[in-house]
Amino acid sequence: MVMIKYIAALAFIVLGPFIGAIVQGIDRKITARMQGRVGPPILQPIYDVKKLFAKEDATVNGVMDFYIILALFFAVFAGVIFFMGGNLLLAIFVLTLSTLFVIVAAYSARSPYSDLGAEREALQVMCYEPFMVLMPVAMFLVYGSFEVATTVDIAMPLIVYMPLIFISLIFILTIKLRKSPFDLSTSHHAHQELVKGMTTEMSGKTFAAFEIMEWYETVLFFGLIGMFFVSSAWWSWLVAIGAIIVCYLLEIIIDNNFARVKWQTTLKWSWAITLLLFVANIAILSFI
Amino acid sequence: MPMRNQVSDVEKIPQVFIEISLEEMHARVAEHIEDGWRFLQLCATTIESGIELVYTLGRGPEVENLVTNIANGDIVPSITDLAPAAFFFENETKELFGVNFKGIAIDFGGNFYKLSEPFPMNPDGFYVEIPADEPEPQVESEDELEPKPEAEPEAESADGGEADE
Amino acid sequence: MSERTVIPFGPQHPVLPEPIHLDLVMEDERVVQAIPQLGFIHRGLERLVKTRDYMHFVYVTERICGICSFGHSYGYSQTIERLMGIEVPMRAEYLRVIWFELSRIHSHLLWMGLAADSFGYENLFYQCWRLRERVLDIFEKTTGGRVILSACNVGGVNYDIDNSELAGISQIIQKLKRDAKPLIKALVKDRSIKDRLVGSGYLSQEDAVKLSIVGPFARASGVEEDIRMFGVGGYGELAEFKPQTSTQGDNYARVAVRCNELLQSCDIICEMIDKIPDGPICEKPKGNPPEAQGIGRVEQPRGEVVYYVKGNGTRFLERFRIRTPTSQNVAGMVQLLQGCELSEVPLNILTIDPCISCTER
Repeated sequence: MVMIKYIAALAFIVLGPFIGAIVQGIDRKITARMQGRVGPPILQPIYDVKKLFAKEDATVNGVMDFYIILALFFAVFAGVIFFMGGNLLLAIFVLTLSTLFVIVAAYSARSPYSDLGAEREALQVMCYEPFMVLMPVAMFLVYGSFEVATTVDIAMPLIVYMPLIFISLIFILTIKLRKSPFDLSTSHHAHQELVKGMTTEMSGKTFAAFEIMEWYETVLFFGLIGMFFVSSAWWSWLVAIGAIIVCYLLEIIIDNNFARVKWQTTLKWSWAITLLLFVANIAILSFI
Repeated sequence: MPMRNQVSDVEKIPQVFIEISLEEMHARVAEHIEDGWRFLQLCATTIESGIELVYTLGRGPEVENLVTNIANGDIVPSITDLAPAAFFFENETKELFGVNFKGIAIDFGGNFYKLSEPFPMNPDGFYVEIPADEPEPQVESEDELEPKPEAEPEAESADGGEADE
Repeated sequence: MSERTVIPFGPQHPVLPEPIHLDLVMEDERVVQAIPQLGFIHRGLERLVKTRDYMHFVYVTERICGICSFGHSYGYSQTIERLMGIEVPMRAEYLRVIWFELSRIHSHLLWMGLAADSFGYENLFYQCWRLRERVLDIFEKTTGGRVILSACNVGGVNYDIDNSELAGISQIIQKLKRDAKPLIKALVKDRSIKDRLVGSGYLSQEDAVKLSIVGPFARASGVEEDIRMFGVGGYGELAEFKPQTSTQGDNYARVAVRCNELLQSCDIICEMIDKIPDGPICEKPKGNPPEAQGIGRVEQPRGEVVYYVKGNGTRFLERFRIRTPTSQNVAGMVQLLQGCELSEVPLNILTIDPCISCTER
């Protein structure tokens, strides 16, 4: 039993970036087809990162590299905790720590666009943190444990007890995955008012580390989605994978059909939806 | 052969070009703008005796042009107090022709286009020192601009050096 | 008093179609002052008038800007014809209107794509530009060029379009009108877009008149002025023409006005194609421009353009000057930018439809 945990962690560390890269490649291909373009090859993110490693080092402030490496390390650490079946609350806090390091790295670049992007990313963290804390709390109220490993042994998957919170998760993931309408601080399209926002001054190996961190985070979020669907039955894992695919396709469709909104709107909407759905779900649960 | 079967009303209105002197210019423009005319453009042409300025005003389908001749070095009162949009044209004319406007609302001080040769459309043009009879408001706003003030004094001294008379 | 930072916006910025530099003095995310700086694309084209004779200068006017290209050659030709008293054959006038309105459609579709891109809706951006390709294909079929047409000349037009091809163009434009409607609906009715557009960049009618603003920028604030309604040239043959206006005066109104103008242009083209007479397409001018001055005005997609021409009896013109709408609207743009939020800055700049290459010639 313990061996499976270590194999899962190892699989995450080794295979995680590749899965994340291919998912990003498929995302770009589908988005391109929706827009009437051909789109890049599916392995394009891997080619991009390979090229980034070969670039000359042109960072503005050397300490930025250090912060991004720390951010990458903590993102991987959060994923390892999660996939080993550890404490969900701890995993989420380590993930937030990783995002904070990215924010500090962006501030340290001292460029106006980078500063504003970091400010917006900090606002985004405030938007989704309430949910990220309330979700493990809900899990505790239902199962009496913060450990992710309990979901593998239970009879009924979490989705049966926490459907509204799952809807809220999809909403919050739109912010975390940097998709329109909530791609305020940085996104894959450089057309915003902030040029590339938080990551404007990052290039070369630093930016490659940022991209790899995004891949790890994507796999971790897929884990979060899947966690709602797995149970002790063997076929629940297939259901989980199916749910992940459907949710990601939904995110791509949302990305392509909305303009970006202002940060005030993002804050209002995310807090409203998080709190309302959480309270509703808990209220329903207390009656059952 | 079939030509246009009617000439539009606009084309029947003759184009009006009125020659006036420099002193009356500001007052005439003020009169027109009171009357509902709109400032359209300001054009400068180099002629042998100096520069010819054409101020065009329009009201509906009618267009009226006020033409005045000035010599190089004359000071022209700005009309940006009447038509703020004119700041673009006056800065441009100042830089391309060396016409000295007094009191432009947003004055770039000769750095509007940042040309490589001075007054390309009027080789005889030169800047003169504009006498300040009241504190000019645009000076304070320029001090707040960070990148500009370093570039300005160099341009002014370069032009001042060129105006060797 | 919070700390002020200066953000340099442009000249190279992914959201700007043409280079303009703005120093935005900001307090957090609010713009306190915006200082524009131009001059990145000044080519001094007006001095070329001394070395190119007036017939060849049409080709220079076309190349002032890629989007407004046909409009400049049209306005220049009209002004010289008025100065020299040349009468243009009717078929040429109709063809000029058709190409000019096609030019307006492609310019507005381009602008709609850029506006969608500026607030993060890339999908709409690509769909608008895909639709625009149909108009560029029509240009290529009829004149050989997609952007610079070289179709208009002093005295008429250079190419003729035969009537069967015109019928085909009418069909393409009707289909374009049907396909543009869902895009316009997305721009005008979408909730996330409305959140960005409504209420931002407001300019009242008094300000619009005081700053002498032109084009859809002014028409969205209630100023009802459009050169096409004076019936010069082929526009006199239209059954009726009413400029599209709105009274709201904010960014949303400007988007709506441009979308309506696009649909109106489709109708104008189909009407012109139905009524076009047969005949010659060019009346060759004889002699040189007289010693006189002349003014011509044309309504380009961005607003009213004024052409001032001064002849001196020789083949070369004495002076030629184009007053483009953006040079008037820059004052309006600076006013819109004061006090706005950073997220509105790209939209406030794009909303005047800046064509900096026309402005700086």
